[in-house]
Amino acid sequence: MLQARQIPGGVRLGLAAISLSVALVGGGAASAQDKNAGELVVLSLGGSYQDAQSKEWFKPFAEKSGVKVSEASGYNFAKLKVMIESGNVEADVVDISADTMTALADAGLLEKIDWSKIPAECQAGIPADMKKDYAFPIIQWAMVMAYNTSKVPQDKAPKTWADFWNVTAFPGKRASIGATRPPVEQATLAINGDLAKLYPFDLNAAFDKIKSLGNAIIFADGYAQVAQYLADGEADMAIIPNGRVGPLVAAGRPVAINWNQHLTFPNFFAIPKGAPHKDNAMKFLGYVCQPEVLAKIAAPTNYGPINVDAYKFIPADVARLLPGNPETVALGRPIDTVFLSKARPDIAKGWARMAVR
Amino acid sequence: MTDTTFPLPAAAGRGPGRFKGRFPWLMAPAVIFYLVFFGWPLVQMLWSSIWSDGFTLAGYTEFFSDPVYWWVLGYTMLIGVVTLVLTLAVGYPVAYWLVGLNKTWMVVLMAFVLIPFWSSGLVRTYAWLVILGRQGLVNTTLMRFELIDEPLPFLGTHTAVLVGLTYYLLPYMILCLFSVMNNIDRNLMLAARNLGASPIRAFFAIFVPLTKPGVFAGSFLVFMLAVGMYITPALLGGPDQTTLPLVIALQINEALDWTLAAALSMILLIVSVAIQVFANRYVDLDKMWGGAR
Repeated sequence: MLQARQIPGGVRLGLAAISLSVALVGGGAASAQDKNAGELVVLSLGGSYQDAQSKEWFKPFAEKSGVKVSEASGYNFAKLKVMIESGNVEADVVDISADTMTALADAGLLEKIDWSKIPAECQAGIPADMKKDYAFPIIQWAMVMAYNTSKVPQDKAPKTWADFWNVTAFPGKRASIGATRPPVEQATLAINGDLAKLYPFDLNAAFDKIKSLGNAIIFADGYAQVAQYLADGEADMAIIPNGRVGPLVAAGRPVAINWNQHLTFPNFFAIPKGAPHKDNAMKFLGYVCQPEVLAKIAAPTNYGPINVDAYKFIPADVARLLPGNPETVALGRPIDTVFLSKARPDIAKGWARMAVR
Repeated sequence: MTDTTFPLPAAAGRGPGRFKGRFPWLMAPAVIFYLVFFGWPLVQMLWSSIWSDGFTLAGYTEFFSDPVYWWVLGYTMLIGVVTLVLTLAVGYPVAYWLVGLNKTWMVVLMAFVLIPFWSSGLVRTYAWLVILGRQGLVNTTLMRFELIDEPLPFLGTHTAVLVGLTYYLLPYMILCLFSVMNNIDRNLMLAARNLGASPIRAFFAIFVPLTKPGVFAGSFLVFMLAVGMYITPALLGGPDQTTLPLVIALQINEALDWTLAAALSMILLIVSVAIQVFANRYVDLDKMWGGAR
């Protein structure tokens, strides 16, 4: 039963930490001749995103620097918090979303980024507001509207979130991720389409608007499932990260993206407080920050580099599909991480409350 | 009475206290195991529900002051009861039928009950996504026979969640009923018939009362599991199918309000225990878990 499982989660994490540290000690002994190099443990998000990171970032860095890089994936905010608070820090670099970063930084659980160690040629292209104290910006992904072009012809496709919510003018099934990140912003934009005045917004009104879709929308448990719904015709339109659409298009599915009113979500590399190989983590950031290195994962992931200089190394046909590219950048806006990070508990509660209203 | 043919829990016919007096230390490993892996986490959970930078009842206050949690708890209990009734309605005839088969067929058909029982719950729930989807088995079949024009929306409905839960928990019910039914002496039915009872009367007057322990054991198991189930409502349901375990998971992973999550867990536990205690006043639980007779 669930309640019995909750706490052993901590026990399990502890056990995992023990086994991991045993593994690390073992690994350390093996590469002992490489005295100065040491190790680096990166925790990323898995899937094809991490495959690309591994191929283009982690492995080349390991070769160049002699640092032994080990990778892990799969975590959430709760696990990171437990890991850092309990002092069993298993990772030196974590790939985290902006609101997770904000919340962890506010709780004092991240190491400060030493920007003086980041080479000047890396810093030039990073927008000033992305130079965070506790995190290094890497890529941004966009929450977009995607639709099945065989069910919804391009000229009759919904263009705004108001259209997406208009089930009479735009019939068809919609899909979105549910409980973990309900589409509150999109619902708000459906009520009032002004991107500039999106934040702060009324969560209750947003949840009412989501609820008003009733059976016209199905909610998935994860983004992979949303993509699956779009791919197999379970849904005709979806609220989905742009990177999940690329593989569908590549596989020949009749799917298109509508970039209008998209929201961009930056992702960061952060160093958890008490990370065992902090110096290597900074060394890694000093490598990965180079525009031509950053640019390498754009094509395989469809996620755009935050450093604008990286676009010099991205072919135009790839750049067109990335969030932050010159053609579509004006159609969207970045999320307000401070607002979202604060609203997090209320969003979680609002989801449950929506059911009974 | 016939001997047991299947090594199921009910086959253990000895009283619970047989070894107690003589070798108490034999219990020690089990007791230590339970204290470390069950007792301690339970204490920790109770602790984290009342302690967050100091003593607090915030989690409990929030539960009692906000009707949303009452609704969710009520829905969770309702889902548990309906699942129980459905599994009982489906499981009882199946178990009855299985017991009556000859041994070869019984083993073969029992595999159909046990193989899903052994498979991963996640996979079995995902299978229902494929079956109930808009392009799924049910909808495409109905559309092919032109019974419907538009695919029926199954996913994200109470029906989908109940179907998923019933399917998932059916083996538990069947195994409980089967073990009890298997131990019922069929000669009692023959005797009843011999004394002039109709087959239906013999069934309801003799057989059904004898299966009561299995019915209660199965019902308890199914209810408790349904109430604590997380995967099925998460995957097959929508916002209207939010159960208490889902709210707890959301508090832990998204809202990070672990005090509330612990308090909600305690409340779910207390309600479950209360139901068991309440039932204990009307049903002999010792007998139920201890054996068929």
